[in-house]
Amino acid sequence: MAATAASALSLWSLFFAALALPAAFGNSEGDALYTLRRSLSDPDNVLQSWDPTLVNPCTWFHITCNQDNRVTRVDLGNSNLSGHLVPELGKLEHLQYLELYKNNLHGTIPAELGNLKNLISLDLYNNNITGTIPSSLGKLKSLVFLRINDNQLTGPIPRELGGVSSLKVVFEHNPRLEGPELLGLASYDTNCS
Amino acid sequence: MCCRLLLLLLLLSGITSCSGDSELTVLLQLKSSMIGTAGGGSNGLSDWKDSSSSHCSLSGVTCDEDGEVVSLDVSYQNLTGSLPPEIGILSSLVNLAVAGNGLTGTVPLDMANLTSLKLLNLSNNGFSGEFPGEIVRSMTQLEVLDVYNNNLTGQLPDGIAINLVNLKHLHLGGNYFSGEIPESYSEFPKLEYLALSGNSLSGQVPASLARLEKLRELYLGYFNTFSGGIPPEFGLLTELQVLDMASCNLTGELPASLGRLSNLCGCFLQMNHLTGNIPTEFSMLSDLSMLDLSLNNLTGGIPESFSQLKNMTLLNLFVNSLGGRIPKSMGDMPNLRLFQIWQNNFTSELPENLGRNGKLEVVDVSFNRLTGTVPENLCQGMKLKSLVLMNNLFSGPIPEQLGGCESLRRIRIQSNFLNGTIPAGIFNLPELTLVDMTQNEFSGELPKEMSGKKLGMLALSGNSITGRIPAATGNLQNLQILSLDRNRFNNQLPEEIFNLRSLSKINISGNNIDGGIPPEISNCTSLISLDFSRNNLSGEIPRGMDQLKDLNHLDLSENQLTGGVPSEMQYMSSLTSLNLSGNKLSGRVPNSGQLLMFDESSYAGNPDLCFSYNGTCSSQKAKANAIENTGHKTTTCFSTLKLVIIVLSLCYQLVQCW
Repeated sequence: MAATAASALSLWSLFFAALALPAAFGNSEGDALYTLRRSLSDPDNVLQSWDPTLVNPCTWFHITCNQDNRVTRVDLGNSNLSGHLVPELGKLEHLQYLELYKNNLHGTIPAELGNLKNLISLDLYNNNITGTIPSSLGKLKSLVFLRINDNQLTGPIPRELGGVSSLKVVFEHNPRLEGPELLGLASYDTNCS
Repeated sequence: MCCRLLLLLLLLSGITSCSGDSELTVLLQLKSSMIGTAGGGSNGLSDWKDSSSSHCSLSGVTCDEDGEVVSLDVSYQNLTGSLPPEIGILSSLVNLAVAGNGLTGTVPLDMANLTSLKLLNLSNNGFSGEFPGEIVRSMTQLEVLDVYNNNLTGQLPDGIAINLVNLKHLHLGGNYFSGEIPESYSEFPKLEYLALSGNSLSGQVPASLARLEKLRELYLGYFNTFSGGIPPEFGLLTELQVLDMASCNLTGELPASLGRLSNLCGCFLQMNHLTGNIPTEFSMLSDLSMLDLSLNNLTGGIPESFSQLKNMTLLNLFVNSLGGRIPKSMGDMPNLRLFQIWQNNFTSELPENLGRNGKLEVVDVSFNRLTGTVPENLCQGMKLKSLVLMNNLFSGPIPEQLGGCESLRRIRIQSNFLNGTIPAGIFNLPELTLVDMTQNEFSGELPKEMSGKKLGMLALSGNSITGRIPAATGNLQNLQILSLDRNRFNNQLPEEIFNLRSLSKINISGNNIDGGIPPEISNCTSLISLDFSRNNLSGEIPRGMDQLKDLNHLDLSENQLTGGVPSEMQYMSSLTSLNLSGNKLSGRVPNSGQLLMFDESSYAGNPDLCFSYNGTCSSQKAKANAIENTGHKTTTCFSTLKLVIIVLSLCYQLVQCW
């Protein structure tokens, strides 16, 4: 019993070691994305290529990196995903496009997304997201598209969003979202033709 | 009544004297504590009942001839309570295992009563607090002590080696022990397995551990932050089979004396700050199967004599400052399976025989300065899964053998000087998911047959490939990324490509492709990025582009496209980047919906295009090219005063225009 326990235990240690390897090597962007993967349910295996033992996430499908191997795009729209977003997404400092629309995501929008200072497009539309829009999104000076329509968001649109000059917000079909026409702070989709 | 009083005596004196009934009571008390209050859903130990005939028949319980409990194994029973002091009553215990439950609380000091214990396994629980030496000091028979993966804190239990003369296996890893490794740990006379990994230990690694003559496995790495380096004295541990000191802040050089460890099978020293050379003495490690020195600051080269390591299966040297040539004889290593030396300064050629052992699975030599050709027999044993040669100076062709390498999953050979035609078989390999051959000198044509069912990414940009893009590309059912830009492709685009359900990114820019954009393009609904720029495409932008609901990036610039900008493009709600410049488009640019996002730069170099807002459309030259809308679902309008004002002002402007 002791002998087999010993060999099983040494296997455990090697396993523990293998798990520790990517974390300790510190590709924090890959770790952050893998944390997202673990909080999602993925029946179509869209995230099958998301292998955390690779040096960086740049060869993962649905991920695009720049020349310095920093993640610039996450393209997971319309991918039959459920589960929730994770605050670790805020670590992707070079992220420009976060496309998670038309899934079945629930939970809230993490305030940490306000750290994505290079973000151009945040598309969360057609999900089941609840809670309020974090005011930290007002820090995203590069944001052009904030499309959060067709969710279950509540509360007011933060006035901090008014400080983002190029911002175009699409927020319809959030039945409990308050005062979308908040004093002209957000220009909205005049798609009447 | 008698038993209750005796139980009291038991608690005081720790001697069992009552008959089986009292042991049943004790066991039931244990059960109640171990199941704890959250035991609601747990049916662990469900056969441990008051009505049980004998305590010896309970699951996990073994008795001796006298009915004393000698073994208790309740591992993996979903017990989320705690281990109570009553455990100390079972003083005949030889084996005690409660592993793999969710037990919390402290390790009861009363366990010191268990002086007959040979095996104590508390691993994989949530025990917290300290683990003082006095718990085990009297367990002179103890052979196995395992508290791996708990939440124990404080110093490592000290003053125990003197007593534990029979201890063979000591696992204190995976906790939060702090402080230094006690010098006294060198005094276990029979210790074969010592694991202190995954803690918060500090200080120097005691050289005196070298006195553990029988030691076979030593794990000190992961999250510990030692000062100093690997004691050279460790070369005396001649029984050592596994040395794992990865990721624990080690500095200094690799001791040459480690070359004396003739039984060493696994040597894991990665993720430290080791400097200096790999000692040539390491070539004497005849049993060495796995050597990982990656992620350090090592310099110098791979010793020529490394080829003597007949048992080597894994060699990880990546991310160091190693250089020089890879010894040719390493191609003859009979058991090499994983060869990862990327991100160093290695020069000259790869060993010609690499792969002839028929066992090679992973080769990653990327980011070096390697020259010469790709060895021919890398896939001899049909086991090669991953071939990563990128960012080197390799030249010559891809060996034909790789076209039949059915085990291949990833080929990443970009940024080299490889030439010739890409072997046709590569496009049929059943397990291949990723091909990146960007930025080489490949020429010739692509094959007419392609059946790689798992191919997700095909990147051939920046080569000199000619001929037509094969219609067979449409057979690559799982293709997500197709990059053929900057080659010499000619002829027309095959419409079959747009049947690919998963295609999200296609770039064929910078070629000589002519003909029109097939209207089938609007079937390709997964598209996110499309770049056809800098070709000779003619004809019109196809109708129905608004079906590409996810299209983010559309570049058709520098072609010969005619006709107008289809008005349904205003409904392409995902479009964030549009470039139609440098074509022969004409008519009025629709000025609504998503197209409001784009300014003149998206349309420059189309002299016959006009814009409503600057009056260029009022000129006679402007063709009345208001292309009709097809039916689209309208988005809801907001019924606020502000909105009405905006709509009215827009309508006013429109009226002015005409």
